[in-house]
This record gives sequence, structure tokens and C-alpha cells, in this order.
Amino acid sequence: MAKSTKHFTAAAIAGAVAVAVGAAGTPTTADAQAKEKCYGISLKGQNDCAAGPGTTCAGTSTVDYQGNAWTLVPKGDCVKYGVEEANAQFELPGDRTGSLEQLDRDLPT
Amino acid sequence: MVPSLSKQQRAFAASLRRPDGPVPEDVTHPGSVPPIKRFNVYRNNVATAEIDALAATYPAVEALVGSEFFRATAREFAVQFPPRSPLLFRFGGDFAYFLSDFPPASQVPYLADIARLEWAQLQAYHAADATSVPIEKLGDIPPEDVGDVRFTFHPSTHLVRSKYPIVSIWADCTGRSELSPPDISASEDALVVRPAIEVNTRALSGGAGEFLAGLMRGQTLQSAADVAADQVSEFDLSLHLSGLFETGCVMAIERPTPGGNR
Amino acid sequence: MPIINPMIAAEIPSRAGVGLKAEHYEDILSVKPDIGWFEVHAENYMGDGGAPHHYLTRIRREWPLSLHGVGLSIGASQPLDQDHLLRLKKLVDRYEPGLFSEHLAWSTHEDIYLTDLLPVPYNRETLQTVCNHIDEVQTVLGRQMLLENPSTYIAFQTSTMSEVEFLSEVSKRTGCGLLLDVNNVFVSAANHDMSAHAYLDAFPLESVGEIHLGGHAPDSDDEGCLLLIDAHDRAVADPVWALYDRTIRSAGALPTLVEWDTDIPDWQTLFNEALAAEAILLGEKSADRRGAIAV
Repeated sequence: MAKSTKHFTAAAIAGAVAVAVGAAGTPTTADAQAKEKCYGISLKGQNDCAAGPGTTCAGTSTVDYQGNAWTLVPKGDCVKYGVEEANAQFELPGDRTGSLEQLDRDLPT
Repeated sequence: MVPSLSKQQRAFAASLRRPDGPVPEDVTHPGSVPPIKRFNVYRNNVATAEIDALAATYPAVEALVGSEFFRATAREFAVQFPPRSPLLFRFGGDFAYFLSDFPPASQVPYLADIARLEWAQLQAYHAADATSVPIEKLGDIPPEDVGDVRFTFHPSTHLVRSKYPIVSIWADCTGRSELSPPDISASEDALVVRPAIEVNTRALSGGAGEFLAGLMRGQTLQSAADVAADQVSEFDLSLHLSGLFETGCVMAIERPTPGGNR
Repeated sequence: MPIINPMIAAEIPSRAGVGLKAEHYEDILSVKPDIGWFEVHAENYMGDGGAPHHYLTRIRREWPLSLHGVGLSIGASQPLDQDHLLRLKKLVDRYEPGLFSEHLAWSTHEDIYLTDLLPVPYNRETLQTVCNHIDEVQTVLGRQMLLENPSTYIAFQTSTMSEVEFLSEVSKRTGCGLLLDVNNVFVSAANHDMSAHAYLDAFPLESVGEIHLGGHAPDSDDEGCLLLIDAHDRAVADPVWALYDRTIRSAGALPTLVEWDTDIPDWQTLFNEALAAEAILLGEKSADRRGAIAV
């Protein structure tokens, strides 16, 4: 990675740290805004996923394997947000033309 | 000749994965017609368990594309990327990659990023337990050294970066948000962390994604702040430091070694 | 801090228990029901940390626990997955379960995990393979395991002995105990046009360390005949209660588990199933159950 410009002096860093430490436990406006976008999940039923019905000794006779994704179109909540009509046409298997830009920005953790 | 168990199981496994294929030769039952429906119980069990496991891991993806499309897509995925572990929570890590190159899903360009977010949430759910460090510990570092500290992150910490508003979309389609439907042209990075029992997902903005990315790569506080300010000129360091510690994602503060390289 | 309360014995009492589900964690911890024990699927607790271990630790402090594996693939021709065996060992050491059980089935082929409990032919070769695997499991875990009779939808031409003969021989050779799933007996008997009573008459009840009960779903086979599916998605059927009653009368009281894994009901509904099993264990079966004995 290219070396970035130095935006913060040592004193500015120390000052920001002091403000952050000093504000600990005090809700701020920004805090409240951030909380609006903080969501908890407890993954109820995740354990069933974790072992799956096939490993929970539960059988089923549902026929699932005949569905063919290539003949279907998405029609869930995505429709609310608008689907990309430009991408509605795609090549069938054998000549796949993935229309998505590869998003390669995931970080190793 | 009696086929060996190994040969018999190889044939059985191959038939399981070929829905239209014949029933293995040595299979028997009380009736006289070929027991296709009976054998299909096993085929269905395998397929359904795989699909249900993916549905449990990716509820937002399912909500976005609808159940019918999701299950057909999951089936296709499971054929190409079958489970390799008896721990089903390890199954489906390639789903985002698969979706990003699955033409029928291309109308929903953010779908793969939502899948990456949900995979991160599942990893956080099962990550090792650890104790978070409160921000007060940062106050113990001498001011002249504080720019050189590095952070160690809680094992459940995941940063998912996207050019789409993934947290807003995820929260909206899973019924967690009472805000209006998200503006699809906005972008959000997501911080996923599980400091105790519950997995938390937070939208990052204002350079916080860059900042956290730098810190997670092992950069010093100074370098990470500078990188973030490169991207967002009004980057508010104290605000984002507070936010970061508040999530509980910082597990340790590594002080600069005295006399070490700066 | 030890997670096991020294007051809570590891030993599973000859009472009714239920399969522990995440949906019921909070109810169980707040209601503190008078139930004998809980059983979990080992694989659900093989993550590093978080909610599964948090809740299981709290529940283990109050009740005896049984560990039921679903992924060891004891009936596979290929060697046991050593990583998986070590994960099991770790879990056994951590939670000190009163019982550990697995299935007479296979679910791995090469490096693919087939998400089902698949049937094996009952012959000399399978017997040797299964016995070797059970020896290995009991050696690594340092304890006896129980092996469960499967529910099956097909059989194999290469079988040379009955399922009961096979299980009896495995138990005799390895010293393992048996987990008798009465619903599986009923399901397999119906599916193979055999008598559940004859199966139970031949079964080595003295080796049974635990009983399973669960619900099954009716379906039909290629000739339109009834095919029962071991779905665990509903209450235990009346004829299965009757078979259970009969088993307890011959074998005496045994730890009995009610399994309900799909379409999971509220806690009280599941608990009521356990109470029904306990009534039979105590010889207090109700009149309506008694009326349903003809199978």
C-alpha cells in the first residue's frame, strides 16, 4: 500500500484519544445516530442449521432437487429496492457471462 | 460375488447425487417395482438438509430473492460446493463467491455482499470467547506513544466492505429496521462482532471502514487514522475511536516496544 | 471455574428427557422444569464459543446431559475422521455427559459429507468395519458408547443377517451398549413389511442403555404402499407409545428421550411428551394410551 499523507500530528492523535476516553459512557449525538444502524442477532434456530435436519436424524420426503434456478427469477424483497433490468438477460450455462463486478474488498480477519 | 462395502458405498454415494440416475443394484425392498421413491427419500434428505442449512445461514439472501429462487439456487450451489465437514455450520462459505458469478442472480447486484455479511455473522456466532478492552485502557498510554499503539481484535470481529448499503438492506429485509427502505446508491461497510452472546452488526461510515481495515491489518493508530483521513477528509478520529471500543471489538492494546522501530 | 456443579451427577437417570433445542434455552432456564435430563447433538456444540456453549454450560449445571453424535459415520468403509473424533473427545471432557451415542449408519464418502444417516448391508464385512470403528471410538473417548438402530427405507441384497442379529453381535464383540429407538423400530418394520413385535422380542434388551422416541410422517412408496418417514416433526404416534410401553414392561425403566427436530413446538408441548413417557416409566400410563396397543 502506498504511504499515506500524514494528516494527524502526534498531538492531534493524543487529543482525539483524550476526547474519546473522556467521553466514555456518555452518549453523544453521533453515538445515538450510530445506534440506529447497529443491529443485534441471536440466530435463533442456528443450531439446527449447524447440524441441519439431515444430521438431526430427521428425514423428509420433500422433493427439492428438481427446481432449476436457471428458469426462475428473483422475486423477494429485492423487488422493493429495484432490480437491474439491464442485467435481466443472461447467457445460459455453457457460455456464462457473469454481469457482476467482482467485489474483492473483503478483508482477511 | 459380494461387492465390498467400499465399492457399494461409492455406488450409493454416486446415485445419491444423481437425481435421475438408477437405484444402486444391490438395493432391495418388499415390492417388485424398482424402489425409486424409496431411494429418493435418501436423495431428498441429503438435498433438503443442504438447502435448509444454507437457508438458516442466509435468511436475508432468501428474503431478497424469495424462497423458490433461493432453494433452487442453493441446490445448484450444493452440487458444486458440497459439505466437506460433518459440522454444517462450516457449510456454505463459498456461497457469496458462487452468487457473484451466478447469472440468474445478476439482477440483484448486492446479493453476494449480503451473503458475505451473513457468513461473517455466522463465523462471529461460533467464534472463540474473549474479553474486550474498555477504552479507558487507552488513557493509560502516555500521550506521546499513543499514536504507535496497535490493536488486537476480538476473534469474532469481521469487517465486510461493500459499495452497497448492505447493513441497511440486511436490516430491512430481515425485519430489523423500521427506517424507510434503503437508498440503494449509498454504500456501507459492516462491522460484525460478538463481544458476549449476541452477534452485533453495525454500519460504518465517514471513513470508519478504512480506519478499521487499517487497524485490522496491524497498522498503528497513527497510520490507520491517516489512511482514513486520506479517504474522508473530515474523518473524526475521536468519534470513531469511541465507536470502535463501544462495540467491544478491541481485545488488546499493544504498546510500542521501547527502543523498537517506530 | 468448573462448569459442572458437583451436585449434579453425570449419570443419566431412568427418567424421561428431551432433545435440547436453541428455541427452548430461555424457557428451560427460567422455568427450571422437573425433567430428568437433556440430550444434544454433539455437532451443534463443536464451534469455538458463543451462545451454544454459553447455554449448554448453564443447562449442564442443572441437569445430567447425554451426547448424541450424528456425524461420526461409524458404518463407512473408510477410516473414521480423526479430527472429528478429537472434537468429540474434547466435548466429552468438557461436559462430562452421562451417555454418548452414535448411529449404525454412514454419512461420509471420500471428503464429501452426505447430510443423512445412510443404511449399511448387514454382513460379515460391515460387522468387522463397524466393530473396528467402535473399538476405536471407545478407546479414544475412554468410555463405553451406545449404538442406535436406524430407520431405513431400503435394504440390501448383500445382507446376510438381520438388523437385530447384527446389533447383538456388535454389542457382544465390542462391549458397546445399544440405543433402542422405538420409533425407528416401528418405521423400519412398516417399511420392510416386518413385525415390530418380533424385532423387539429378538432384541438384546439387557444391552440397552437408552431409548429414543420420536414422531414419523406417513408417505407412500413406488407401489402406493405406506412408507413411513423418520421425520421427528410431530408428537410420538400412539402405536409407538404402545411399543414403548411393552419394551419398558420387559426391560424395566430406562433413560428415555423424546426427539423433536423439525417444526419444533413450544416448550410445554415438548415437555408434555416427556411427561407422557415418564408416566409409562412409572407404570402410570393413561387409559387412552392403553387403548392403542394393537399395532
